[in-house]
Amino acid sequence: MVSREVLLDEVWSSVIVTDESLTQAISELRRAVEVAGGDRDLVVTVPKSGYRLRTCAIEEIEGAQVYLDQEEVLPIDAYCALLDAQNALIHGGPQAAKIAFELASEAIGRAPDSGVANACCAIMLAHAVLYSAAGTFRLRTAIHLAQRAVCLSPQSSIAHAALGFSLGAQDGGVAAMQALARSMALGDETGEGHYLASRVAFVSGDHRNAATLALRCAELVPDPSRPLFLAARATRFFDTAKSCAIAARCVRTLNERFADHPDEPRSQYTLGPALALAGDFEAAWRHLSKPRSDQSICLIHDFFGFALLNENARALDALESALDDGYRHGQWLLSEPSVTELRANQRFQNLTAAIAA
Amino acid sequence: MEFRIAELRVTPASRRLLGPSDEVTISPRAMAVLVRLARAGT
Repeated sequence: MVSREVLLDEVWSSVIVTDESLTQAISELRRAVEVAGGDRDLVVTVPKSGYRLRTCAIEEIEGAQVYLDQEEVLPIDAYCALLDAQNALIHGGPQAAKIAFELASEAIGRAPDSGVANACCAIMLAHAVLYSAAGTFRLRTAIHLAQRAVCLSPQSSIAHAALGFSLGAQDGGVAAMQALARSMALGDETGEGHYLASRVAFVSGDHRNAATLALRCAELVPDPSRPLFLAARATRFFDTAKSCAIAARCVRTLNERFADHPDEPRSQYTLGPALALAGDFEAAWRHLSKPRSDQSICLIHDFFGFALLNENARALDALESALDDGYRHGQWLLSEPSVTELRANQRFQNLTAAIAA
Repeated sequence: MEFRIAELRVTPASRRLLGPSDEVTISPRAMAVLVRLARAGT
């Protein structure tokens, strides 16, 4: 038996939904089975708890295939591994990028010639490199995976997005933006190309373009908190009032997520700096003062938040801990609006030099 | 990151479970629910 809560959390991890969404999916499933001439009672309701299958069906399910966009076909187990990888990255938490990468690697193991699996793996690996000091040689592996994804699925938006992001993580060059432009031109229905392009534009100092791309992404994705947070930071460089308004929208979205995912790490670590960007310094301070995770991705967000509050000593403590945990995204760090006041600080200079080394 | 799926189609291997027709398509969310239940066993 699987509880309704677990199904809602795992199947709709990136979206705010009600119980009704699950009820509809179960109805659709039963209807589809009936139309196909199968047993309508295959899915059994366990009163006040959840659902289970009437017969052991794993082997049959694992024989099924998933047809993705661009006519790409995945075995169901590879598809499940990618879903799990996606969930790991969305929720964050300890070693999220590493776990996501391992799951995406599992998908490649099951479907070596899948462009989508190779693309997802490249993106997860690039994240893992940036947040856990996995080493630059692994960034070359990410680029290689992304190049293979483009070769396998030249019309896949996500494959070009993966190539752009991997190249951008290396040096943020023109080739990265060209690949990301290609991703967006191919339709980018998931918004991933826009988000990754915004990140690369942000790091290269093109803040207006970064803000435009992130806001467009916010229209495309089910959960807009992540691109809104990025848009607020990019906009802060040229329009503070607008940045505050975007950050306030991000905070509202995060609070909605808390209703369904109260312990989700990503929402937890984003809220502090988002509140600071929105100008609600008191609430930001309260949130940032709560007990924190010692994962680099959480610590670096604490750094952004404390720096925005001009709490430089606490900000630099968080940055130092992030470095100890493997944070290596030096380009990103120096691009943040919150570090403007810190550039002359000797301790900050020493820490950024340590990343470069 | 997130990827979207156009649709899921039933293949011969899954017909014993879902029925004999070739015409059945299930939305990605419904399929994900089915997969999650199948992984949990009966």
